[in-house]
Amino acid sequence: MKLFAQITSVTLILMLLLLCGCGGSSSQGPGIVKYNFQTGISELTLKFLPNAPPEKIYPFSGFKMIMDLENQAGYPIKNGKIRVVGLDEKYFLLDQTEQDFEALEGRSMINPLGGRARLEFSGQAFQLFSSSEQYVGNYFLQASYDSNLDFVDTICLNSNMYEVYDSGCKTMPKKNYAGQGAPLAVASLDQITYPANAGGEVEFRLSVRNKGTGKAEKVTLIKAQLGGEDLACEVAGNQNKPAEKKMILTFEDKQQEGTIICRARLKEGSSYSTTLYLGFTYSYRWEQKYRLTLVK
Amino acid sequence: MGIGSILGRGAAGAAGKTAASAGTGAAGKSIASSVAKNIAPALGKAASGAGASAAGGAAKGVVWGAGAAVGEGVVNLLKQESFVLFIVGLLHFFWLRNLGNTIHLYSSIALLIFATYVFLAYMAEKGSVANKLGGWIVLLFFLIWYLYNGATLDGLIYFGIIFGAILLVVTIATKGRGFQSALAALFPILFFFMDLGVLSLVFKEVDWQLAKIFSDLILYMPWWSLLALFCFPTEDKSKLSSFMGPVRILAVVYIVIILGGSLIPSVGHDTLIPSAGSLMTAQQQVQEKFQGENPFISNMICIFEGRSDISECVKERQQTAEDTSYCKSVEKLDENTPQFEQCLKDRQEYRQKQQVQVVGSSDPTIKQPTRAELITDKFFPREVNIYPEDNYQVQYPIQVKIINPREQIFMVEVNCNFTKQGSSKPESFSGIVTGGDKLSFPGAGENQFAAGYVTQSRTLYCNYPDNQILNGSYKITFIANLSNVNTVSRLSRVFIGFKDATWRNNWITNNKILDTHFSNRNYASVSPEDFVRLNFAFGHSSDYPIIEANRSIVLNSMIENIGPGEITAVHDYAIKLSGFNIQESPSATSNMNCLEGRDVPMPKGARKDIYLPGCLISSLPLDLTNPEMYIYREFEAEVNYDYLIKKEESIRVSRLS
Repeated sequence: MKLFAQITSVTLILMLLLLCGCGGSSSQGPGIVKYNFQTGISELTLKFLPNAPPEKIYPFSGFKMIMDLENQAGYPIKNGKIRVVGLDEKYFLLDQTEQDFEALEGRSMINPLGGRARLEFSGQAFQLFSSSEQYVGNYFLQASYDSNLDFVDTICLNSNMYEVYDSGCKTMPKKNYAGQGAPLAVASLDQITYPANAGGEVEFRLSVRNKGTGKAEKVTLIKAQLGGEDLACEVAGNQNKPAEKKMILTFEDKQQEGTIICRARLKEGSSYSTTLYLGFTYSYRWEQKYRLTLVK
Repeated sequence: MGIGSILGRGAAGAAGKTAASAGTGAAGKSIASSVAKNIAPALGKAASGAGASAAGGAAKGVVWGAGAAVGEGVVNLLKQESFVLFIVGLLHFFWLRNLGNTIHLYSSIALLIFATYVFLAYMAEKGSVANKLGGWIVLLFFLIWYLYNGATLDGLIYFGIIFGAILLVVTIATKGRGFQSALAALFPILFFFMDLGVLSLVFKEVDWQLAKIFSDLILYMPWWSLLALFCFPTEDKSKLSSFMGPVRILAVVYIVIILGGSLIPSVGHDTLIPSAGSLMTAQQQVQEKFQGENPFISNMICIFEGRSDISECVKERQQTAEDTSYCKSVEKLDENTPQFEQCLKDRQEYRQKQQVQVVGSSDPTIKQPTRAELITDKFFPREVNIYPEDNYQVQYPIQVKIINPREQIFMVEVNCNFTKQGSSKPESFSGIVTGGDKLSFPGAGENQFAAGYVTQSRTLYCNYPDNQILNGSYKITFIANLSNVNTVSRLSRVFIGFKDATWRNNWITNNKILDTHFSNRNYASVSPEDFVRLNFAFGHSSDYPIIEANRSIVLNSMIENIGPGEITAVHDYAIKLSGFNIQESPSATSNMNCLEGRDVPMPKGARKDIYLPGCLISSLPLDLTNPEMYIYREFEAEVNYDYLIKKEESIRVSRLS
């Protein structure tokens, strides 16, 4: 019984080491510890503090707009900026209409709540028009930032698809994903395998989609690896573009989706599982309509 | 008889005539007779008669026969009172009533008597009236009470009792049959009022915005001829129906064309009926406002000219007629003079300016506009009996109620005017107003006071001058002139500068800006519902609020009268577009006036709106030229003016011995 316990302990330690070892380098590749925070759809959230701004503002009074920013995504945010757009300065004059905010860490084991920041805009209200009873100033709060996204999954490759007695893994022609912990997500993966007698190649078609509440603007594929080796990828439709633009996916306002196509040669032999990794950076913009009310 | 049967008869008659003309000899006679007998009853007799009399030529006979029948028909028509009324009604409409009020009135009285005769005869023929005496009693009562007594309340009671008693006796004597005719006689009396212009007065009294369709009905309806149409015989006994039918059709066509002309889009503009002291004056005033060409004549001329666009042709003719009338009657210019030609040109320009619609709307955030009202209360002495021993002057109090939420300081001057009623020649004189702020407000007269509070009510007295002795019925017109009233309008615009397609898709194509700042899609200027508002708009078009860089920008404005009175002066106006540059134009003076002006000339006539000069904006202020995102900004415009409101009251003063 004592021997059984010793063998079990050693086995568990070895398995843990093995699993950690398969994770690859920590800086760019996915880590198992980090992975848990990189699932689903989450993004930067912005909330006004109660009474900042106040529900009603009186003529010739000062007011503050204070907002809390929380990075709920599993990735850091940088180059962040908040803008107030559309207020008529005849009624509400802000000291500044835009502010940069510091880089916000993404959620992780060591910072499970994500990075936070507080911004404050100070303003001055002026008088109502003539004998108006109130004035409603509609405006947009716009947040813009840069962030990144990692996609990683274990896939099965098999160059000998018609081998009946292959006891390895089973290839999945299509897989869907709920998200990778960011507003931008790889939503699905199509795997098309050309067997050895037809060239022995695999093609991955990854659908990249904005599932957040804002708009993704420029999505760039910065790294693609299959089993730790670089993978040749390009954005669908960018075949004729210069090399530096082949990796850039420009999202239009109403077309918040694109496809990345990657190809790799298959090794001969039995089926095997390996890791597919794609790393993206993207610019993101979020807008929300608010109002200030000036009353008598 | 329906229109269809009349038309059918006409067609059949024509067919009969054609068939008869085609026939020769016996065969022709036979065919002509057969067709005329079976198909064309209206002309059948003529056709068969002609066929019988002409041994060798049925066709010739038919023509002669038809001619004879027409001659006989015309003679019969002239024997028919309703047809005579129809013709005389047309003469009255087209000629007599245009010869002045007196002739119009006498002609109408004569026609009333004749029409009563015709109508009672028609009702008797129909079996609806058995005894006409009651009708004549009612007519006599009406003529005495309305024309001799002047339609007073006392007269109604006095003559009403006398004639009522006579009518009662007649009713009893005729076992109730005389009363039917008494009621029937009211019908021609109704037409008498219509002819004099009662509708004009009604519209004026209820202060209605008169639609053109109704104004045309008032102005272009020969009422007596219309009554005659009712009285045309419907039975074929008189052999007249084949002639009466086309006349009826013509009358229906006339009414349709009148209404059709009225329904042509944009022909003229609805006009407020002006005040009038009597029915004919009211009608005359309505006519002054609608000096267009009779739509019937316009339609006919356009058809004969072979114009394919009849509606456009009618519209052009109407406008030309209105312009000509305006230049003659309002500007008092002689035709065929250079001034007259210039006047016509100015009117055309005015129309074109009117087409540049700069609309404005009420500011929903301002619940209380500046208002003024003239009120007569229970202390107003509408009927006063004065005995010789009474040694005082009757004063007529008028309350001026002012709502002034912005606490503007402006001067109110009140005047009054007495007009004698019931006389053919209206006699008018000014009253003397007292009770103002002469003592407390420097420089003010007895009839003036200053407004400066949020709500203010002042009662002043209107006195008749010492050299006038009131006796009888009068109309008092109270006039309050508000000097230097100020109204501010505001307009919102969005400036985007130069933006790429992606930005435009996000913010403009998606309507994000419009949904946020113009959710009700009102791009017009707004202002409180004061007496007047200055509507202004600028942009790449007047009715679109998003302005880009490097595109031409137009600015248009107008002063709109939205109150119940008249604008008597516009002292100055200013559209506050600080930092905007105006593009110079050949007429530099009017060009610069597009932003501000003083002592605006008041348009003559009953026009409500004053169009201000427009211009092109050549450049925007620096901060609006190319913002990083967009800039939403509000602009103001201000107008300072005098405004006049009126109130009329009827009074009666009886001097008793």
